[in-house]
Amino acid sequence: MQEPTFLILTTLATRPLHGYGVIQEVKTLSDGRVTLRAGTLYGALDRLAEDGLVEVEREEAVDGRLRRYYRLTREGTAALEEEVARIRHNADAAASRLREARARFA
Amino acid sequence: MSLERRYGLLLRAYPRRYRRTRGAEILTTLLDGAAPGQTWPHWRDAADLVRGGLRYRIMPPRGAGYLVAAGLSAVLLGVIVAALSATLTWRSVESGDDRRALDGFLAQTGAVGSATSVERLYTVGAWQPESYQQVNVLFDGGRGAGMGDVDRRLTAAGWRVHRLVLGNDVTDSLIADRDGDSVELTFLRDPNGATTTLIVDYDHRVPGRVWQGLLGGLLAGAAAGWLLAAWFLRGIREHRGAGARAGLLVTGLTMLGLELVVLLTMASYLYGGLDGRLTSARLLAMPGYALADSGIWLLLIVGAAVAAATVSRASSDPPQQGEEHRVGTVPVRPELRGGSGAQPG
Repeated sequence: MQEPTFLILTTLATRPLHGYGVIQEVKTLSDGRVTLRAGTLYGALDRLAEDGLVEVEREEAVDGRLRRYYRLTREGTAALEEEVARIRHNADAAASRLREARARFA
Repeated sequence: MSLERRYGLLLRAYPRRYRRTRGAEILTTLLDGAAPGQTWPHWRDAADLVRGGLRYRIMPPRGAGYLVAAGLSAVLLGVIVAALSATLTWRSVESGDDRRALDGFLAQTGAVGSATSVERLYTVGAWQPESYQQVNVLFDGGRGAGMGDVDRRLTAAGWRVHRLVLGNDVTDSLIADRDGDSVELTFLRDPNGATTTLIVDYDHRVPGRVWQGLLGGLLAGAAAGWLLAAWFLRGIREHRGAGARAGLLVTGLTMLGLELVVLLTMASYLYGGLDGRLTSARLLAMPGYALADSGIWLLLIVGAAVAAATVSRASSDPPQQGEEHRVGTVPVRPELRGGSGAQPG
């Protein structure tokens, strides 16, 4: 799973968000490192929806403008949990190796 | 011009069908992110929208089946347009006086007698490309040249000659080539020894510009085939009703039939063209001729018409009972339908 995809799923883990909300949350989560553009965001949302990981939760018209809110599906939550476990496992393995290396050269 | 209007223009990079369902939403997101007083789109947003729109137009839906279908469509249209383009180029650059070239060659062989027929060869329901002719010339038994003599004359004229061993006493054959022209000569001896019939297949070299026409046609046709398939398959993907499925089936079977014609024709030429006279131009041109001359091209029109009608109807009709409505590729629950189709720009 690519980082932008991971971050999009993460932003939707707690509550439904509209497109701009997702962009803002991704920026916050990544400490400003990842800035999603609209074209990229909706391309990713299309792919995630095809895979059944996100769905439209509701639509709103605010000041005459359409907003759609997206949320994680059950499959999306499971996929995110799986990815978190994978990243955590890899991070733990890397940290363990680094501790070994430091002990050897100390 | 307002920022909203400018974003609307950029959104035209996306297909209309996509804009109809997604455009208003993307526009809202873009305007939400705009700085106060901003009147021009940021260049990164502009590049991102154009890239996203082109990607959506070019790529078929995800999945191996869609990719294979788009690939087959690209091959089919590529071959047909390449054949058409090569033929038109060939006719525009050639004098068309194949007979004169043939007469010039016959003068070099020392043949005596006159041609009894000059004709194009027919095969797989279509005639061969230019300059591929069959001529019968009579040799007078006493005065005319035999194969050995023709061999020497042609060699002296700069032809590279290869004799073929046919294993019978009434037929001899040789193949010669020079400067891209090639020729096959078959000598049929009268059992009485009075006359020899010479059959000449003269194969004029492919003019250089034909290759350019061929390559251009191949690329243009393949690109068109890919884009048409991507457009059609996206339409089917987004509207999964019974009508769309039936249209997909008819179009798929039609295209499959055409693919079979193209591939079988090419295979037959590969199999039969081992004498060295087969060129890539002919190999690519033959399926086009076969399709055009046999009337099978009607299938292409039927397939294209069904495809266009299917996608057009699927795009314009509201979802029916049991059909899934999708925003782009995102499924929308029935209670959310309606009131969201504003189109930007």
